[in-house]
Order: sequence, then C-alpha cells, then structure tokens
Amino acid sequence: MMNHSSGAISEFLIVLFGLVVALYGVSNLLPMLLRALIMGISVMDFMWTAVYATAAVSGISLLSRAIYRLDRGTGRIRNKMELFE
Amino acid sequence: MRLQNHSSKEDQVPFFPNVLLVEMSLAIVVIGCLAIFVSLFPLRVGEKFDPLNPPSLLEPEWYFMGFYQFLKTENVQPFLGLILVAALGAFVVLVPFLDRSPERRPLRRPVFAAAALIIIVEFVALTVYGYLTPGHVASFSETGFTAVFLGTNAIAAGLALFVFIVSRRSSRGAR
Repeated sequence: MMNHSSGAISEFLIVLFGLVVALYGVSNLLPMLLRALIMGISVMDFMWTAVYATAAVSGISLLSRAIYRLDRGTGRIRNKMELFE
Repeated sequence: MRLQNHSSKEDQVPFFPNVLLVEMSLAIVVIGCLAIFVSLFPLRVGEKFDPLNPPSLLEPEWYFMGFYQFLKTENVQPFLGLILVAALGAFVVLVPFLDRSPERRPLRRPVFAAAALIIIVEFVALTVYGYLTPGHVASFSETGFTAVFLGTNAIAAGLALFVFIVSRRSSRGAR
C-alpha cells in the first residue's frame, strides 16, 4: 500500500513538473518565434529560443511519458511503445 | 502505480519509425488545415495598444472568451470564479489518476465522458454568449444567462445519459 501511494505521488509530481515546464517552454517559445519572424534574430535571442525549445520538448516528453505510464497501469494501452517502456 | 509486468521486446512498437510516422502524418494534416484556414481568414496584428487612449471594450481572444464570460459573471467574481476555474484545471490534471478504468471507449466510461461533454458544451455556450453580448456583465439573477448556463448543462447531461442508455441496450442486445 505504501509503495502504491508513493508511486502515485511520484507520478503526480512528474505530471505537475512536466506541465509547468511545458507551459513555460511553449508560452515563451511562441512569442519568441513571432518576434524573430518580425524583427529578425540576435545571438542572445537565438540562445533563449534554444532554451525555451529545450524546455518545451522536455516538458512535453515528460508529460506524455507520465500520462502513457498512467494509462499503461490501467491496461488502456494496446500498442506498447518501446521508448516509454 | 508501478508497472507490474514488463512486456517483452516483441510486443512493443518502436518509436522510430512506427510511432513517429503516425505522429508526423497527423502533424502534416493539422498544419495543412491550419495553413488553409489562415490563408482563407488571415488575422491582422491590429492597432498598437495605447495606454493613454485605451479601447472602450477590452475582451480576450476566443479561447479565453468562455472563461472570461464565466469569471466576469456578477455572482462568482472575483474569488469564487477563480476557485471554480482553478478546480476545473485541477480536475483536468487529475483525470488520468482518477479514471482507472481499463475501458478505452468513452461510452463505457460514462461518468468521465459526461463530465467532458458538459465541460465542452458549457465552454462553447459561454464563448458564444460572450461574443453575442460584448461588454455585458451577466448575473445568475438574469433569466437568459441562467437559462443558457443551466440549459446547456442539462442538454449535455441528457445527451450523455441518452447515448449511454442506447449503447448499453445495444451492447446487451449484441450479447
């Protein structure tokens, strides 16, 4: 029981962390891309864009893996994905 | 929550190329639809905001219009509305933890399917109401607004119940 609840808490924390990082990354990346499109891009902007893109990709990956594992735990996943197993 | 049985390599689908190909096909379809849509209905950036001469009516984009319409309703502003919207967000985040049914079809998960239907229908109704009554602060004491708010809930719940009963009868008939 203890193991089960601590597993659920850690999964929940991963979902929360993934959500926050993905929101941070995507919501900063999109205005940055628009700004680069309109005003051109400087070296500093490029570096920040790379940081936001990394945050967005990491956050979305974490979130999708966490939700995959939760769905996998219920038996709803038929085609198990090698990357997330 | 831990995975009890680790499946063997044979019954797993590799991410590259199988999953990636499906995802890329979907992404191309979505980007194609988006490109057609923005070509047909191009959106201008609009006038620059001047804080000394603000526009008389400030309203959010369409994706926040439903929430905005709810939040500015007289009876829930400001704290109750914020708490309710935050609770809705928390519920959406918690759905993968709460819905532990092994069923994949929405009709076999009636509670969560009905909740999703009610949320979507309510969001659409409030968005349309917000666009039809710009700048109007609604109140639950108004018959029209209450009818829209509760009526859409009732219609969505009734629709969910109807589809659930029909699907249950048809699955019983199949057996």
